Amino acid sequence: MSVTVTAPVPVPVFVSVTVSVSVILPVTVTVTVTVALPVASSLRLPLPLLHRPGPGRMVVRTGGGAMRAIVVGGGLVGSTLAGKLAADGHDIVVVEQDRELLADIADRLDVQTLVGNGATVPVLVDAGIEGCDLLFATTNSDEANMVVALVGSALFKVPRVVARLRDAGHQESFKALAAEGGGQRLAINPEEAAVERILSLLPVPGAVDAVPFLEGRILVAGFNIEPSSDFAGLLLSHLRLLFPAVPMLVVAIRRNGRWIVPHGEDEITAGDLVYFALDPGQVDNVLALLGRGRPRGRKVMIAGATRIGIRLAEILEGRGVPVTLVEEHRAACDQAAARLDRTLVIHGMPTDRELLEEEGIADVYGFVGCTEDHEVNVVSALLTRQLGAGQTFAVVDNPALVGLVGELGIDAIISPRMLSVSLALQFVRRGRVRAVAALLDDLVEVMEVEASSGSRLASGRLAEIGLPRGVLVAAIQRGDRIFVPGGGDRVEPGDRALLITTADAAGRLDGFLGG
Amino acid sequence: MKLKQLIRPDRVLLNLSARDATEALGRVAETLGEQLGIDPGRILDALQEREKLGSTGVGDGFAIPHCKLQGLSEIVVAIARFEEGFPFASPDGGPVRLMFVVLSPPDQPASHLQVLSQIARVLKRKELRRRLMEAATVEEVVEAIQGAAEHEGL
Repeated sequence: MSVTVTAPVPVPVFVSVTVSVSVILPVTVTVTVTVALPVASSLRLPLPLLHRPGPGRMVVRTGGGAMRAIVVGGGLVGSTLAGKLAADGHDIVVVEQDRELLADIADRLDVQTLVGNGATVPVLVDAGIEGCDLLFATTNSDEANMVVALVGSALFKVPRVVARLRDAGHQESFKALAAEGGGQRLAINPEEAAVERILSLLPVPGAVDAVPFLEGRILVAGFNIEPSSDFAGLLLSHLRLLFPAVPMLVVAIRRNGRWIVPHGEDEITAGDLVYFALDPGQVDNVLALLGRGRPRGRKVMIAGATRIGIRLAEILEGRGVPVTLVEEHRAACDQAAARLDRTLVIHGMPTDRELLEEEGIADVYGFVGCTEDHEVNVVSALLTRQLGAGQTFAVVDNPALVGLVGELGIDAIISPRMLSVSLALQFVRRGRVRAVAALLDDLVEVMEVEASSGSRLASGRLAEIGLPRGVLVAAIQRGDRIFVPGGGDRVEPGDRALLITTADAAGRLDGFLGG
Repeated sequence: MKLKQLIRPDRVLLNLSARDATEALGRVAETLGEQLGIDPGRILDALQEREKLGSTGVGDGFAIPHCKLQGLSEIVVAIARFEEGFPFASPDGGPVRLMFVVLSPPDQPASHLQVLSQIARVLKRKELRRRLMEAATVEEVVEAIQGAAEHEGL
């Protein structure tokens, strides 16, 4: 079995690695060893040398708070997750059967890679499962993920295990497993995550992204700024003039493909994608300034009797929202009709203009393209938009397409896979961080943190505590009160803070919060 | 709602004098109260109530005091320039000499915000700020604002 260790430093001859070893059982000893390792541009090391621990359960940590994680599955979810964790300074091994996929990952990311079937014990042992902190099962197969999770949880007692599971039955099994042993276990269902995201987007017409934080009292939502918008040309400091009594601020701007975490006298310009953190009660006012009204109708049209489509229809009809479901396949129509009570199920193509018009597309509140074919989702969302649908969403997992959302004229792209990555990251950072969400293309993150008494975040005025560059404290919740802090304010122990960080500062922020 | 349509010569007040913010807002409230048939005290109270939430000063001698007011049927914009500046808790710490005062019916929150946004945006223009401070006549003030609004596409 060949193992490639990607060197973090390209050319230097020696690199100093500090390894703190805590041996738990029979006594806790912390040893710090500094080793000089030769580093070549393509260093090959037998993995067990680094990863195989001695007797007892051993936690090997390199650097401040770095964890060792195994990611089984090198698809979009696995590779994105591995990349983000590596960028945060953690040691990652990606296990994947497909050599080509793995070679690409080794090329792009600062992670170790291992070719093999991750659902087998020997391969997991080679990947260093004994003594690893985190295990992610992200393959496309629920069964394989279950096996990985089972082996990791029951056999190797990995402290934290995340499994991507679509099937409700598998999730039940996983829950039982979690209840059995110790450790933290998380099952992620990408489709459920997508449904949740669509439900949080529907009340915010025009939003590209909408995620509630601080118990739903702050909404972080992204909007594209049209030239006709009354936001275009507004200085950020003017927002205080317009919204003096409620939280309302710009937390991130994407301009010409680059993200800005804004400060002071930045200006909103036409063409920007602007993320606001706002009081949800202000959505209508924001819409007014965007030059957008609320759609007239109440009906939601869903294309695709997929897991996402049916679940969404189920929840919406339960809320009394009229729903029309368009499905191409007869059998799927029948199944959907049997499961849904009040939803009108229509056999047809969501790209059929005549059908859409017959169903009154011009008056629908929202259209959701969530068929299995993601290109159909994009095309039907574009078409329904053109035909006058109030808002249009498309389920798309292709990162290249996701980046085009603004230019395409679709209100929001929902990527079940990217949402899975967000959920997994949220789990990794649990403890210090209550909730994490990645904005659009993963380059900016929003996190909700509870400040403990010893934490650096609560050690003084915001201007003086040495927050890493690229990090913004957007809001503080203290008891019942939520406010937007200035540099002179401080986070107090027990407060919750909403932090915005660029991806490259996320690792530094993690260190800051942990240290 | 467009700012241009809201600028009226009879609501451009030049050569006022006031020692402090209360007096300044009071002067404007008096004139507008008379024009609109509304108790000036009520206008002043509402404007001051809003100032308590945070200064409406935007720097460089300008402020945009505003409030929502029962009994109005449309948005009212007045421009008031004073002989001398007075303290106003502006972000730049400097005195205020020229105010755009906005009174809006409570049932038009969207237009209210749009008008405030448009005023804030035109006031970013240095040229307009200079012309407003130097204008000798009401007509010059109106013209300068119309021109700047045009420039901003408002």
